[in-house]
Amino acid sequence: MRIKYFFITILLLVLVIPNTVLAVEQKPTINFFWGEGCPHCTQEEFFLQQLVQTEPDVIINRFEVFNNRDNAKLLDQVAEQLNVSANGVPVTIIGSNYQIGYLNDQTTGTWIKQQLAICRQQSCSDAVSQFTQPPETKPRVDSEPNFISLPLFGQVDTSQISLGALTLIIGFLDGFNPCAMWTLILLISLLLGIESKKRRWLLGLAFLSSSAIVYYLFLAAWLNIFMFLGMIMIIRMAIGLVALLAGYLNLRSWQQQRTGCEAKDEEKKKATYQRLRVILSKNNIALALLGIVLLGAAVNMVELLCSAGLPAIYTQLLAQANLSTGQYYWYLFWYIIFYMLDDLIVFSVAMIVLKPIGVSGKYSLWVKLIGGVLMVLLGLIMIFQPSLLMFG
Amino acid sequence: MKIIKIGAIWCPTCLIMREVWEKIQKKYPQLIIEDCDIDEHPERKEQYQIIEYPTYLFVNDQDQELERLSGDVDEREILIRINKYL
Repeated sequence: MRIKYFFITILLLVLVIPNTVLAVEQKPTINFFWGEGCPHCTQEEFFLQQLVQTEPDVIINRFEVFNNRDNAKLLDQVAEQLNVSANGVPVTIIGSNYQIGYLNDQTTGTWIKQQLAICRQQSCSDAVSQFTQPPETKPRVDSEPNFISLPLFGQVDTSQISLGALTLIIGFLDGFNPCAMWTLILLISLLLGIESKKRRWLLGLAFLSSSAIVYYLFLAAWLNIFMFLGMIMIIRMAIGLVALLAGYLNLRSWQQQRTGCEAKDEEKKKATYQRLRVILSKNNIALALLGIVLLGAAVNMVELLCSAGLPAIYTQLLAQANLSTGQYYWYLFWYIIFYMLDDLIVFSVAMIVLKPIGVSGKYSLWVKLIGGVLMVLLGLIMIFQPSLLMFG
Repeated sequence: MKIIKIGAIWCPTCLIMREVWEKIQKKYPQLIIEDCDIDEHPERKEQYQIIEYPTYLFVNDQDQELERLSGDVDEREILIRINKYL
């Protein structure tokens, strides 16, 4: 009987002790693979910083993969072992479970907490530790924003001033987009042939409003695409290359010193002009308004291609910023305001002086030069030093 | 000497330059200025090897091109050419 109890006790000890020892020795570990300049990684880093305050026993191993080849290789090894294709970051591995991407604290954050709870209850074999000992580096996070006090504005976060300035500059330069100006000046010349002042203003403002709304929607769509894909390094590199190409095209156009209308696609341009004439000649104001709104929308769809990358660059930069949802759309709103500013001025002045005016070709050349230099700089920074463009 | 203005009704730069040419015509009423709409005379694009609108050709009495200006041009620049060839 005693022997029987002895064996049972030994068996229980064999079953219980190793787990107890493991539970004591193995703290829950998060392996966090991140990339410099990746917005979703920054979001997760914020979450992890808060997490360790409430759950101090958690160990976080951080691996930067964009600039550190060893870490990138490690990610490949672990991904191969887990039989997963890790094309983007962040990649979070807890035990042998993983999550690619970081949606928000409620979804991915909750998953992390659940995995940690599981690892506390039962031992988790760490899929990463067998390959290496992790380096301790963190994504760049300004946990304490710098505030300055400005008259009228009150407390202003300095890290967001640069994003605001960039919004102003890029939006304004984009506004000089030749396609936008081209249609507006033609519209003005035709509107001046209409006798009723009220009708002139109504149709002109309807065109500008529909242009602004459609452009805003397109920017919002770009933003959402980049928010979703922003974690993939290749997308950031591709946008950087687009910026370089667009910058080169602008600088080439500046160097050619052409201030007129390119002798190309004459038939298409003539057709747009004829369409404008037909719309404006409609007696029924509702039909004319509908036509002008649709034309404004169509022109702005083409403009996205015409503006040679500025909206793509801006929305990619915005997606990288760590902002609340409302702030993203607020910045887009200001972008549109600056984008439309020159159009509004040109339209209003023309309607007041009753003459078709436009922005001088020489100013357009300056815009091309400044825009070209800016795009090349942004492209280079996006490719080689993306962290410089992380705001907020 | 005469000036051939090659432009298009749908080209905003041509529209904007219209005022400059009205002033010039007032200053030089004897100057022969020929307007050419490219939509009506598409063959002129090849003939004069036009790469942008508007293009202003300064031609002599034998229809030989003396000089050309194109795009958004200052009134002063045009007057310099007129005084040179008149």
